Amino acid sequence: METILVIDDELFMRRLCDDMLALRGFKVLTAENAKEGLARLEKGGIDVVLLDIMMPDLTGIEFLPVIKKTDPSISVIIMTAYASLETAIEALKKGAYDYIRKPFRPHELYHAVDKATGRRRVELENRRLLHALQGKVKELTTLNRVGKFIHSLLEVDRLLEQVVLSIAAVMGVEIVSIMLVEGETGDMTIRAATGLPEEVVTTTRQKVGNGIAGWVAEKGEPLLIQDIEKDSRISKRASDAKYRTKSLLSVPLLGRDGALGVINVNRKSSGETFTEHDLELLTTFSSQTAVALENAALHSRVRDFNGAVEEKVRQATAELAQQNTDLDRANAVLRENYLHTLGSLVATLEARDGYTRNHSERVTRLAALIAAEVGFSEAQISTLWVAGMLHDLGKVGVPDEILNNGDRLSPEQRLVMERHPEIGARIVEPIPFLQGVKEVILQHEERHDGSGYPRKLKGEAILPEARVLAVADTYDAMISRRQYQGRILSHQDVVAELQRVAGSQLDPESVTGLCRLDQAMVEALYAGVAPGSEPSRGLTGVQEPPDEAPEPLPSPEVAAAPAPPSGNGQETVPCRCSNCQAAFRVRAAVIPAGGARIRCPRCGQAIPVRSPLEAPAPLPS
Amino acid sequence: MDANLQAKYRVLTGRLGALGRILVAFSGGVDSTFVLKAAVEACGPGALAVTAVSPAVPAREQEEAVALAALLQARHRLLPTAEMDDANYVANPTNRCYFCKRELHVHLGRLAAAEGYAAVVDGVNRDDLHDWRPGRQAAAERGVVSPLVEADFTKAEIRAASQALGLPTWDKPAMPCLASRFPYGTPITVEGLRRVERAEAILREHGFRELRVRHFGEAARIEVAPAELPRLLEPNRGAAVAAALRAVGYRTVAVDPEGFRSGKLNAHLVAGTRGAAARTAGGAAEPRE
Repeated sequence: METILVIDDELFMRRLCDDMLALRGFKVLTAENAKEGLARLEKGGIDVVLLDIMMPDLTGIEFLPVIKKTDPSISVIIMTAYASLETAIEALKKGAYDYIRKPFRPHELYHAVDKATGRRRVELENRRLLHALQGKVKELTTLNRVGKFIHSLLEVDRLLEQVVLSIAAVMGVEIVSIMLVEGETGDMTIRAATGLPEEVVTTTRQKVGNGIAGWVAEKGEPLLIQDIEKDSRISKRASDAKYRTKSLLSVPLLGRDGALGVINVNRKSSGETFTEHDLELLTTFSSQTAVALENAALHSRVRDFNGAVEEKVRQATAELAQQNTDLDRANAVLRENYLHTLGSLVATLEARDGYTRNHSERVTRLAALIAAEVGFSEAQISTLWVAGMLHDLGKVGVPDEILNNGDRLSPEQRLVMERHPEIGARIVEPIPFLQGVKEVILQHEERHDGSGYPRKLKGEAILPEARVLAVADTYDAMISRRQYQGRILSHQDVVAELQRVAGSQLDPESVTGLCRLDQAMVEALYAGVAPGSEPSRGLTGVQEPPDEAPEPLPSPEVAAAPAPPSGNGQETVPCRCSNCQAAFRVRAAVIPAGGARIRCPRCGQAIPVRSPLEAPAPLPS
Repeated sequence: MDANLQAKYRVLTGRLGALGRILVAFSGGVDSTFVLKAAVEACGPGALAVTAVSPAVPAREQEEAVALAALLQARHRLLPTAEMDDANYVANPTNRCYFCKRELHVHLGRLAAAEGYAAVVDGVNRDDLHDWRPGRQAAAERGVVSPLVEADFTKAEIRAASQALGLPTWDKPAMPCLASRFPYGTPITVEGLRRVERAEAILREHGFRELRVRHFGEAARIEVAPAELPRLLEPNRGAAVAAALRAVGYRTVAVDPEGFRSGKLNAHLVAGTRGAAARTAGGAAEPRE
């Protein structure tokens, strides 16, 4: 049953209330003034207060806030002989729950007290619920913290890599390493570094207490060595002659329970030795990093959490972290494998048809150059690069007899051929990272005037990447075709033809982009990728030594450099390839007196060329 | 950077971005530093610079590579290679570079596979396509990507763009490895490499910038820029240099009266001729990196 406190200066009223309430089973306490009442209240356990308004030391109205302050959930019932409306309102405003007028009848008192205790019970229940809720919140907060802990563990390597780079940049040093104490062995290993050999990063283990870093970790004190050769604290064995490090700094990463590890920096880019100022700077870095590590709950917090559960969490998160790293790498590998597989498909496809050999690579590179010329962003060029390599992927679904038939296709065969953008798009459809690429593949045969396929898109409705790709594709088809039509189409011929269809078949802006490209550049691009002209392969077995050899041999290979603009004072010699009949020019200056061999920029055939000073002019172009 | 170079640079970063996670074969030379800059821009922490550590690379250049990677805020690793264990390489045939690069690219390929990098990229550029570069074959065999070829950068453009980007390497001379000082057929030894390195360091201390010490076993032949020949032959200096070279192990010290053919190394000359004329009548440009 609830406890009722009666505060009244009249003994009679106190006795009356006491008797009446005790009869109802309440526990009753009394006080004859505010001061005594407060002392009672402060002992706690009071549920309801019956409060007289007119008391000599303090009126009930004045005392009300004091009661509410000790416990806001206590219900206060005002008792007054002067029950004016104003007094009642004033009391209720100040937080009284109810009032009764003196003299009162027993049932009036019972009614008011029952209501008040009822309210009190609800109040207490709410409080209990709130408490339970708060416990839940705390639990959730802990879970959340564990979540963050997992997250931060995943982030820790990235964080440390960032710290390493920041230190290198801010302090102007070349070698930075962060070593952390491992939980199981207590050894320190390198968790992030720059400027160190691979083998050092992966194999270094340092016992706390051993070596420079070990000393710093053990003592928890920074170490500034201006000249390692002269420093008496360091044994000669520790001096690392291999990296010519004379001056170095090592500071501890201090956590709440001691060193988490150390940060080492060696070698200022300026060549100067380290100073106290550098030490301060690095100490600032280390304290920030230590806080970040503590937050990441890598070390002491794990130990603070009670025992085995946390150890399990740690293991699980470490596994998660490993899995995450593995996943990142696996994703990169997977992505590359996808592209590699698709690229192999394209290569197989190109091998089926002589003229399309390396077509995709040439088209891609040309398209990227045009794209850059017309102002594509880096990201667009990236998309274009992948799309270009895969744009004809769908032709794997086209039978040989159609693929090799060039322009002489029956209407039925043409329909089959024209499905290749859709087939290609469908092949890359399930691959999430190729979604941007998919649409470009699908649209690369659309035409500016809507006469293309498969969806007859027009103008701006076609993706810019697909528009550029169409121009490069058309250029390549025309330039390559010259080889088997027995007719030589020059770059200018092709460009003129493309300009003619700009605005109808092709996107005018992309054609303009192509026209603005340096002709020599486009031709060199073709020289670099044309079948058989891969220079290293083309040169296998040729034994001319480079210039660096002390004794140069005669008849060196010289470059079939594109002819520079005329009038720049550089004489060139015209040549014609004995194999593919391509015409090109060589700078006279690069041909030594004894003559040289030159590689055809189109087919890679090595052909002899003589110096213009001693020989009749070679074949005119 | 003019509009043309900017466009090419976008092709370069766009291409590297399409690859995502890449290993950059990074020597600290003009070309690979430029590629690394673009790689950091396009791939951020997805780019990892890897520098081969070999007895044929002077320690000074290794240190420079480390400093440059730090400057570019690139993740960087040094990777020891074992070409000195390869009899084919040590015998020093004319395609020695092939064996060295094969060793390098096998290691890089393993690292890429182990850590999930999409590709290894190198600094081969458009001008290199026309040269005698047996090393390129090794790269081609391993599927190495040459983004500078794909973005159509010539050596001169790389230097110009590097200058515009504030790269300190823009006018760095070519720095072929120390094995190139050995005539073909003369076996490469660690001891010989160290001797060449020390000998060239001595000449550098005397203020010569463009120089080679050709290694003929116990004989050294010094090449310096023709304009600097008189300075080398000053009585006191000549004697001091000869004594210092003897101290590092050479019995005979000779000076090449033709001097070092410097034309191919001058940035402005290269810039004026798109690289091709940088080759001299002697043949193709020297091997790099």
